[in-house]
Amino acid sequence: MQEATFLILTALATSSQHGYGIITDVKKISGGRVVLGAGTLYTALDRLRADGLVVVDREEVVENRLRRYYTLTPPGAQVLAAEAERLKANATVALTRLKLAGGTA
Amino acid sequence: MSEMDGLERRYARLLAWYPEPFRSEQGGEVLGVLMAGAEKGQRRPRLREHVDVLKSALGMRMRGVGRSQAWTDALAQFSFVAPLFTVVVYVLDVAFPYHPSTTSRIDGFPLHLVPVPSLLSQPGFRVLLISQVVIAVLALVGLRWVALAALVAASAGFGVVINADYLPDQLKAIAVSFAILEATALIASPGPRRGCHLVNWGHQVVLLLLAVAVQVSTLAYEAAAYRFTWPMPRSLGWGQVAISVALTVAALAVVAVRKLGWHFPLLFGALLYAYALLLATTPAASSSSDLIGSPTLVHLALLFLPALLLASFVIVNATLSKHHRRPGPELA
Repeated sequence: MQEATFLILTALATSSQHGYGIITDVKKISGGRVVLGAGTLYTALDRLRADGLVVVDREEVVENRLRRYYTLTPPGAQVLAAEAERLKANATVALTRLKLAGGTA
Repeated sequence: MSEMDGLERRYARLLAWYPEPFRSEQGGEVLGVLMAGAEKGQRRPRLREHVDVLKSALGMRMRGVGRSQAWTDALAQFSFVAPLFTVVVYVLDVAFPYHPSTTSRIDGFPLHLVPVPSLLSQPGFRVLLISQVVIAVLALVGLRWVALAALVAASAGFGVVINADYLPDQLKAIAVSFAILEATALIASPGPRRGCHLVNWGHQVVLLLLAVAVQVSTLAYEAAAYRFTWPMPRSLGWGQVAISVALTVAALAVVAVRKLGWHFPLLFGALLYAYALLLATTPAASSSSDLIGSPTLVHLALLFLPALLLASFVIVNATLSKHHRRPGPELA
């Protein structure tokens, strides 16, 4: 899973969000390291919707413009949980080995 | 006109790179996100935004976003199923080869005494079979571009052996149609991995029924052509042809009952058209008018025009919307 996809799913883990909300949340989650462009965001959302990991939760009209709120589906939550576990396991192994090698960790 | 109006208009123009259906559904939404992210006093889209939107829009066009979902799905299914189908056809051809009847005689000579060469012993057939298995495996694991490279390489190899007399005509016809349509499906569809998700047991039943229909009619064709020892044309085994037709009708019934749509059978129709034409013309064929053994341009057009037309239609359909660069209604 690409980092941008992981961060988008993470942004939707607690509540539904609209497009710009996801972008600002991803920036916050990543400590300002990842700044999604609108194109990148909607490419990812298009794929996630096609795979059934994300759905449109509701729609609002703000300043004469449609605003959609996206939310995780149960399979989306499972995929995110599995990916988080995988990253956690990898990070644990890396940190353990660095300690054994007397590294900086 | 305010600065914001000008920026919004320029963003809208940038979004025209997206496929029209995507713009209709989500153009306003993306525009809202771009406007929300714009800096105060910004008059034009930034370079980073240009690159981001262009990359996203071209990616969506490549993946077929915005084309008819049924058509896109059928192509994806075909890219996954067609290599398996051809492997099954070849395996059936090896498992149930043509054997002359013990009562068949020509000028008093019993045909069954004449040995029929095993297909597996023929180098040309081995090229076909191995390449189809490789392409099928690559499609199964979802490596569409590697599968396409393998298909191109296999087609080049096949081009070397296509005039070999020992290769059954029907396999040549299916192999050429397959190369045209599978390459198209791999290029223009979302790919075999997506196709794998969309294939259900109905597709599998259709695939099996058609493969058996091909093999049964192949036996009829071999009985009529019997090219290895006796080039004189003979009549088709009409009983076997009737069974093939019944199996094809059963496959179409499964398509109708399971509501598999008409795009998928249309692709298989184009795949099997050259084969069916070859079968239909067998009684009248002679070595000098062999449709595929020594083909003329007219022969090739007759055999492969439907597949080429369908492939062209799909490619044009995939790229046509690239020229529709005017903004959608809500973006203008």
